[in-house]
Amino acid sequence: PLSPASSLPQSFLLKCLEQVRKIQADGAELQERLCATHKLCHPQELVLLGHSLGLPQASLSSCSSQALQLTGCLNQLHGGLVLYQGLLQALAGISPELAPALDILQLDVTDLATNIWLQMEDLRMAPASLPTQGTVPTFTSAFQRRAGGVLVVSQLQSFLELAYRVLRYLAEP
Amino acid sequence: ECGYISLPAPIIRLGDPITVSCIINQNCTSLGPESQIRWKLDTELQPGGRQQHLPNGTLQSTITFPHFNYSRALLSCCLHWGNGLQILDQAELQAGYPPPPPYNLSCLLNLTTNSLKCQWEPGPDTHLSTHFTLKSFKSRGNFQTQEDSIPDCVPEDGQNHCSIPRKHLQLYQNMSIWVQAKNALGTSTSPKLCLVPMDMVKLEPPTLWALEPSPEVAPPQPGCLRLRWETWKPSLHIEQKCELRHQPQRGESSWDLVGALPSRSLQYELCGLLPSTAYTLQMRCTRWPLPGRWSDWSPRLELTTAQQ
Repeated sequence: PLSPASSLPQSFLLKCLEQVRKIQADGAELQERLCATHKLCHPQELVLLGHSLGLPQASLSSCSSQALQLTGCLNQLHGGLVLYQGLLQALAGISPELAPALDILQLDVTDLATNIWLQMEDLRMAPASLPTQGTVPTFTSAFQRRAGGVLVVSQLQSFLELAYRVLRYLAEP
Repeated sequence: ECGYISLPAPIIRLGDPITVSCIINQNCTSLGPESQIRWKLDTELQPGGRQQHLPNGTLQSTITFPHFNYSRALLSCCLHWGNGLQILDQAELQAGYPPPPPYNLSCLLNLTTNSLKCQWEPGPDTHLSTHFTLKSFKSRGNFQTQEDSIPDCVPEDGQNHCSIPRKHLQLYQNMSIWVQAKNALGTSTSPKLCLVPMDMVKLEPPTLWALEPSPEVAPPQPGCLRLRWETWKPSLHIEQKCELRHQPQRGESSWDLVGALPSRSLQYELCGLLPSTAYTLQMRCTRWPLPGRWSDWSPRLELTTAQQ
């Protein structure tokens, strides 16, 4: 069955919600470890570094409840996930203790991006070609990778919070 | 070399006939007009070798086993020499069956290891070294067309299960999986299993606790119990439903079931029970409304209802 608020299958939306919850849990795990292992616990302490790294942000403007534009919203959801996929990839080599948690987070983000893309294709909503990951900052030191990790995951959590609300709205019976 | 055994094939089908030859070169010093070639199977002398001198001076003996029923045997070509036998060459002969198709293939997604563990039944013993490989590919709608390949999963020797690691999986996309069995006599494959890894998630049981009495809360009514539960931590992101079963510890009553419970409850009161009676309770959960497998029942919780 399709959910009334959209032409998206209910099972697709339930799966996306489940995946978002998983990614949020993965992100929280990584944040806890960054804090415990490297005492990097607060993104606010890394704002200056964030500016110098030039971390790109993902927009969900087409998903706002006032002017929800479904195709545009899905595109931005997918595009944002692809962006974070690239940012997480750039964190490779963050540290041996964090690598497993980072790998799982990256795999789950990739899975959700694929899930959305395949659904867009099935509904003929997908653009002609896959979006590219865009320019990704280069982390030049172990500290930058860890601090970058705190910032990237923090931004990802905010992105997911918004995404979750949108998906919940779309899934409403 | 003095002599050598010639085998049509080192491995044959159990019960099939096989004809083996042993050729002794004329430069073998022990060779004389009355030389007799004899065959041994492991340690047993075998009757019936047909011997002939060939135009090129070599001596050949051929023996046929109409139904070779040994899964593994050592064949020796010997020559009578003095009072005994001289072993001139040996050959190992194996017999068995081509692998039957593996069956009962099933898979479970393990949330702890994040891997998809599949197991299967190998079928009857082939008597031969048989290798199993778990093969799979990612697919779109109809499970037939291959999208992305997935590396073969090779189980450890003798094992009939294999785990596909998370990095090769897309948890929410269709997958076709099958098992290939291969030995020297042939190859077979199991029927294909079509699945979505996440739909194969098997949850660990939830944890049940008794609710400790507290001054702020009135004691439970007679015939009631208070408890709480929480699902398995790695599955907190999965929407689930649970069911609770209970039975008096004494007597032969069967289990009573309370269904469609939420996956987490900080305080639950179960009533309609016998007063001052010891009960055993267990709970299990499954992913819901999305597909999944029921967990096993939780460890037992034993509680006694309030008095009348």
